Amino acid sequence: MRQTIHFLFFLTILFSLSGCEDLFEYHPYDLRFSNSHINTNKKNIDKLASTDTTARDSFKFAFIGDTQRCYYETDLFVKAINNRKDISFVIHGGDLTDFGMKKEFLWMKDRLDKLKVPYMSLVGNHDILGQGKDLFVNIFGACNFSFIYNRTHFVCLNTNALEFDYSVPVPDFSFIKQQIADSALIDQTIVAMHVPPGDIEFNNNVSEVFHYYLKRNKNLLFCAHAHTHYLMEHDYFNDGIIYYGADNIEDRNYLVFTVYKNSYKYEVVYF
Amino acid sequence: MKWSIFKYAFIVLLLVYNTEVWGERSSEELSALRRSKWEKLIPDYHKLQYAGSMGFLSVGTGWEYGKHNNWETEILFGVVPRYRTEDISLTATLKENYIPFHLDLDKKKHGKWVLAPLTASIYFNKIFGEHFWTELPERYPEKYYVLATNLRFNISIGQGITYRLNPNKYAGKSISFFYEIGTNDCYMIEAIQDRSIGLREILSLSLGIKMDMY
Repeated sequence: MRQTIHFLFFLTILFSLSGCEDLFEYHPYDLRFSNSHINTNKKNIDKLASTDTTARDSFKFAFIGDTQRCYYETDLFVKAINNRKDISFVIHGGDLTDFGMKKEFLWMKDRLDKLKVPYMSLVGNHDILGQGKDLFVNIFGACNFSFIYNRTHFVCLNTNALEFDYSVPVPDFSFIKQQIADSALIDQTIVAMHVPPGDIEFNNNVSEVFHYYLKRNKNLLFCAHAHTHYLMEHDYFNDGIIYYGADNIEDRNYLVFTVYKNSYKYEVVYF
Repeated sequence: MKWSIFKYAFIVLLLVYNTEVWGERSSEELSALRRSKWEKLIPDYHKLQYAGSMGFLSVGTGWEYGKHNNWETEILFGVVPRYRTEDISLTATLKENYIPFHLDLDKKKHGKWVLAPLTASIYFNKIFGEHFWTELPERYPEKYYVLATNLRFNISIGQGITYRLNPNKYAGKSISFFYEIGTNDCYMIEAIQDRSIGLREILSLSLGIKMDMY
């Protein structure tokens, strides 16, 4: 019994010494976390815009998705990217978490923050569970966002229609139209989303319209998505615009797109 | 209204009016006996608990039973305050505590200080709010998501210390301070399945005060 007492007191001391901000948990879905964790996407977009300003003929970016509950593999991915010098930034296609809980978001963010290059993350259907959408919006930023790199427009869309049950426009056509209008500084467009058209999570009643609107973006090169947990390459609308699906990170691979003016190349890299 | 409510009410009535003790008694005796039976439903203690994944602060009440009051069943209601865009949320908890032994620190029976060197608890916590569900909403295909978002199953261990109050001076019997270290089902899944999530990351601390009334 004495040993039990000692053991428990030891545990208490260990706990008080570790003094983390999450020592006391109010609820797995609460939004109580340090301000240093907010607006991650914007911070990374700003970092990309301020540190990498040279105009170039081509650039490479990595695309991953579905890292939920695969922290170890995500660590390996981060190491793999940090070991190469040719990647300009990383796009995470969504599903950082499995249950949309605060700890999951922060555990995943802590790992991705170790990337030497900027990264932006889309929202996945699992990230919306419970209070997850509020957590995502506060930690990463808006569910629809865009940025420009080397005169290429990256339009990142929330396509998790089933989660919102028609209470919010998903996909948000007014946002897409706004992107089409902002074309002065760009030569071409790449669209990223979590759920591809045709999936049960997608609002398939508007998939044709969705694709039509995407094509009204200046010089649409291709679309990238996650969610399916398989490597995919589909010309869903038979018009040469390919939708590339990233594998889940557990399978230890990622997509690398090399973007030229008016063209691109892609490869699957295993780690 | 659900039929299950009547079912539970019936069980409670059966427990209270345990027929074997009635026998032949005077009406006063019977009345007193009935009263004593109902009195078992009066909670033995009140509790105030900080954190524990069931709110910033939870208040509740509970019942002690077992040979040395080794078991406690309690109901707690918690408040998760508003942070950023989130609204205030309310939670309800059903908690079962097991205290395998009590140590009289004054080395005598019924001394002032009593230590509970180990407490073990399991509890279900339910959060109320529009984002949450227990059963998958109809819009989803079957088994689209497996775990209820509003219901967490928690486990914890801890320790407590009790100070016995002078019954002539105070209304209460004793006052206890305790702490618990716990985690929940989802976090356990995370830690078991991924080798880079350590035990420390899934545990959190909780503090509380318990006021024994009867």
